[in-house]
Amino acid sequence: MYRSAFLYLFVFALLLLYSCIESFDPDLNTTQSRLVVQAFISTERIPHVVTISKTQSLDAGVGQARVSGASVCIEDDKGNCYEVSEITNGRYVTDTTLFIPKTGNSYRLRIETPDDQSYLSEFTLLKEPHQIDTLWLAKETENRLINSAIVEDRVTKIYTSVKKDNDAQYGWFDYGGIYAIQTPRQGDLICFYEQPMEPIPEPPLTCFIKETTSNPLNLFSTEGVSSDNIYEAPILSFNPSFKFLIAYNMTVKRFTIDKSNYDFLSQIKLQGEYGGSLFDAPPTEILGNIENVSQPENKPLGSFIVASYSTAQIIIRATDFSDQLTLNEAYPDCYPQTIPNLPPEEQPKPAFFCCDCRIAENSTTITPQNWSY
Amino acid sequence: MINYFKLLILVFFSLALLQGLNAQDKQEYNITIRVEDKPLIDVIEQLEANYSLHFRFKHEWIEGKRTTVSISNSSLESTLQTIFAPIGINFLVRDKNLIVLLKDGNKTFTVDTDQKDSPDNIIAIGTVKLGLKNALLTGKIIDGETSESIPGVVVYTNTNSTVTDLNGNYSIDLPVGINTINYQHKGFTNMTFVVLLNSNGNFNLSMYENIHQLDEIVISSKEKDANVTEVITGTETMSLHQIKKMPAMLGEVDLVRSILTLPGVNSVGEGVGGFNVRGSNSSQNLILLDDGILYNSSHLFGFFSAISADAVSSITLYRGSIPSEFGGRIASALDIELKSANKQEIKGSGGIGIISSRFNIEFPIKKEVNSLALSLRAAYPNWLIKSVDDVELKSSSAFFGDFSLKYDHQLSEKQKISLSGYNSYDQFNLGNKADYQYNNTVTTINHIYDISHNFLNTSTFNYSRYQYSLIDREQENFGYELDASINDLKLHTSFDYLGLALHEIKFGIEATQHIFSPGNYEPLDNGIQEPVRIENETGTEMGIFVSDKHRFTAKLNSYMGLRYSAYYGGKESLHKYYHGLEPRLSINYNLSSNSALKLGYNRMIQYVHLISNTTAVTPIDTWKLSNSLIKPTIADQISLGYFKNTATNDYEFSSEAYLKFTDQLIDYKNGAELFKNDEIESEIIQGQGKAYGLEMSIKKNTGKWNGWLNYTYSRSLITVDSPNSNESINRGDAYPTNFDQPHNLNLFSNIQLSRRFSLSTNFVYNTGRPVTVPESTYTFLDQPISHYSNRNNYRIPDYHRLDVTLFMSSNLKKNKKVEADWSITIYNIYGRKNVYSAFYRRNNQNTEAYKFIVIGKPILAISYNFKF
Repeated sequence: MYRSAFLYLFVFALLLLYSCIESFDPDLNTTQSRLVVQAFISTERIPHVVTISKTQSLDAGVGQARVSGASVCIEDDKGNCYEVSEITNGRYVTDTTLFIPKTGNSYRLRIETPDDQSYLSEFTLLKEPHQIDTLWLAKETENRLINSAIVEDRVTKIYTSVKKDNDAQYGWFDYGGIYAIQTPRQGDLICFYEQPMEPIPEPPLTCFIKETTSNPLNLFSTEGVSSDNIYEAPILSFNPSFKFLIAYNMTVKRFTIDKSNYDFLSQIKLQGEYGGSLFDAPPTEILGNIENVSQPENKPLGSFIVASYSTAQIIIRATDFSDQLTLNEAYPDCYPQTIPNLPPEEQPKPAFFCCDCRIAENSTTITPQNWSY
Repeated sequence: MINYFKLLILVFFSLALLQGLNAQDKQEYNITIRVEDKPLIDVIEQLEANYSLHFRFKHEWIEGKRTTVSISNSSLESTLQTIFAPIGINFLVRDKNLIVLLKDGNKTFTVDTDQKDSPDNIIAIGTVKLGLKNALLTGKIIDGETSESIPGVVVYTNTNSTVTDLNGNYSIDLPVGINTINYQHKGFTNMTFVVLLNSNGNFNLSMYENIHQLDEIVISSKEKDANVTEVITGTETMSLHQIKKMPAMLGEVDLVRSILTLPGVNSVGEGVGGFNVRGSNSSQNLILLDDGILYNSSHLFGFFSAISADAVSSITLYRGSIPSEFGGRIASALDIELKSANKQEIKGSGGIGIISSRFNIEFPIKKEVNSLALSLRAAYPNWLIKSVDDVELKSSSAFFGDFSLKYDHQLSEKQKISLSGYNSYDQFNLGNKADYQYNNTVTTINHIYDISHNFLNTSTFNYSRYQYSLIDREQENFGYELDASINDLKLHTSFDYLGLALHEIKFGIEATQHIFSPGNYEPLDNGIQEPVRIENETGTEMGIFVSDKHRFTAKLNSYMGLRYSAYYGGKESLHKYYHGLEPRLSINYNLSSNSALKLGYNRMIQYVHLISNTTAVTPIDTWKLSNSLIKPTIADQISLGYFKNTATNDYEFSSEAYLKFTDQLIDYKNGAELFKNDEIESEIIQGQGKAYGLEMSIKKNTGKWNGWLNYTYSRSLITVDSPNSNESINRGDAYPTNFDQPHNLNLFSNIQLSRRFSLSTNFVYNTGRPVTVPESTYTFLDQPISHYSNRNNYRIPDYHRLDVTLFMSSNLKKNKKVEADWSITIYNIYGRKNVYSAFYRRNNQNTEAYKFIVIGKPILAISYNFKF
């Protein structure tokens, strides 16, 4: 993988004077849609979701062609079957009171669709979670190929120490948490021009915004690592943004999965990075761990992912970045460009939250417990 | 578009067949010219312009000479005699309109008889003796340019044949009476004489290299009428003269890329190494440099050929019936011969381009005994890399170069030895992230032993090495170093026997020892990875071959070859023995003196494989030997062709159809991981290949305007089916290989604008190559995913490009010590944005397609060449 990326970069770079990237419109055939199963369970005590849908044409846009009316059950290796009920069209959810995944158990997914097709996944072990060691931050630079330009980014990375066990570890790192903001136009009515508003608190008003992310392709593995090594692994990378102007009280999550789940997600990741270079292996259909019992030749897409997880906390501040953003850079939505010869009432307005941080999604002015900065 | 295109081709070739080919069969001249005290050069130019004649001569012979001529309705011979005899210049009329001027009255042939005559008439030799049935004709054949004797010239009639010895001497027993004697040698124009042999006699001859310009030594190994007379189908010999006239990217004359202009040969894109013959992978071509195997024929990932054109004397591609002395690859054999030095005088040449410069020198060490040729090329692409305003490139660098030498030594009258060596080097540094380096080495010892006048032994011993390394620092803690190599030792000995009338028999043996070291992935100093050890592989490949080029009748010639190959090797744990017979057959039936029908069949077996699931090969792809899990690839090909030349060989037409079946063709499982994998066998699947096509070509070889139009329709498909669905591709249906480009057209022309200026244009058109394109989309864990259902299910847009080069040769001044010329090339003159590759990105919830264009603008390049 890496060697082909180098070749691609080099060839591209060498001919940068003459080369370019443009969009193009291939005349695609319409193909028969395929069944897609996305199922993810973890030790997290939340309702776990199984979504059954069909593939869509490339230009279908937002939304999925969901498959409703299926019978879905998660089986463990003890012979228990936990029903997964449909709550909305094609979206099936576990009952948190009945189904609590336990590490050491193996689970598989069984589906009967309304067209009398039966699907069954392989048993997958819910592994003990690997704990997160100490977290620390490092300021770095990294280059990225964006369209026809190689751009140097100044980033801050979160590192942790990893020691390989006898067996290789597989999983991914994700994050979530609460960050504090003080919007630059707090108290200003410009965002709500000609709209009646309650009085807006003047600055300084600090809002706390809860963020959750899902980034299962931020994969991590110790495969190939010498077993006697403890090494410093970069696990997350951030560009400076308004989220870090005050502080971000971050919860780092480490998900642990088995190798087959890891290989499946790796293929998805690799395909997402496919550059179409002649030095890239051609992309292929990605098949997971679910079989069509009724018609084995019609394998469904998607997979059944089983993960355990652990967490650790870290606080990131603006001083943890090399570049200090100005308010304009940090809040571009709050400083729309003025359009010449347009009357004030028709000029673009800042986003609503710029004038009142309280209306940002998942925002509160109540200081969270254990918050410090 | 395609229908229109087919119609265009059909019309073109129909017109060519109906009109062009018969138009110039025979040309009678009726020359009238009147000039008074004019420079001789003007008279020559007037003759060239008015009568489509072409003169070849050294400028100093006529520099400053003036003439007065008044000729009306005179024959060509008479006209030339009138003009040139008074100034002591002889001439040789060749191919009816090509006139080679010869200084100091040297005759091109001498006949030791009572009568002398021109080569076009009957030559009588000896005195009439009643009752004599047979007589011995002897003679010596020399190179008309260097006066060196030419060994190995085939001398034959329809009753007997022989070959010249190391000193160019021959003797042949012929019936008394009229005999048509043919003289044939690779690199020289065929000559035919009608001789009335009365008794024993002597017939000495000077032969000239094919396209022979005395003002610019141009070497070609192709005979003028080879298109028709060549027995072995699918044989193409590129003229270096033409190669040098072809517009090249960044002005770099390119040997291997020039092959892409041949019908049935194409490439998957710009900047891609190697070439694809009749829908095959580039690793299925046997590339021999002085008989040594060259594993990588490219510099800079494929932008330039690894071999400098100046260092080469001939380049021949066999893609139809491949002679039985070649084996080990299934698609083609490219035979490149390094240039031997002139044994008479010191000569040199060189050139300066925008990305590299080269210098060649050749000289005798002891005249007539030994000589040395040296060639050096070095590139300086860094100024180009650093000129791009890019962080990554500012700290990157690249270099490539190559070096070759050839030492020739005449050991005795019967023995000759040559030593040659070649080395190429490529190095790239991408910032602080990666270092690439690879180099090729080929060394050869060649010994020719003239056992008797019709029995010749040629033996070569080669050592080939391809070595590459990669230092990857991209990921901290996971940096590694890879150092890999391929080492081949090869011994080849063959015997040419011409003792049987009408037979040219060749037999021999070849043994190759392969040592493949795929390398170990060793962690760098701060690396925490476990080293990955890839097991070394060894293998021995043997070939015993025999062939007979047999003239059954004046019209029917054949080449029958048989090769028995045997192989033992692979990974130590998977060693396996394979063997097989590889018949080669080619039949040439002359429909007339200038047209022929050719039928060919050959079977090839390939025991070494390039393991790469990318469209383009890379310098660090792994080569593997066959083993118990990877069977050898076997190809059977039949071809049928019709070939026609005009009587003067000014125009050539050919049309050749082929059908090729390949067994155990290597492909890869979906999602195969070939990197750092010591068990690559588990990622490989072997299928059945089928390729077919029709190649058509029309060429104009001579005249102020010359060039060719080649068109190929071809398909290349593969079927990979297995009871195990994971080992089937596209559900077991046939699908196009990466090299399936049905329509392929090349139009090349060179126009001599004046004695100093010429203009070359090259137009290329290919159907877009197959690509794998997603046809639908879905999401998984909030990640948008493009779904690729079938491999190679679409094509990128068609490729086309026009290049132009203007050549300006040195001035016409007398006694120049150094001759120089300039070339100005515009590559992709109309800035066609040819798609190099396509890829997909999610933009919000939509999947958008993008095309990557490597060269989307015209590229201007200037190069300067000199020689002394």
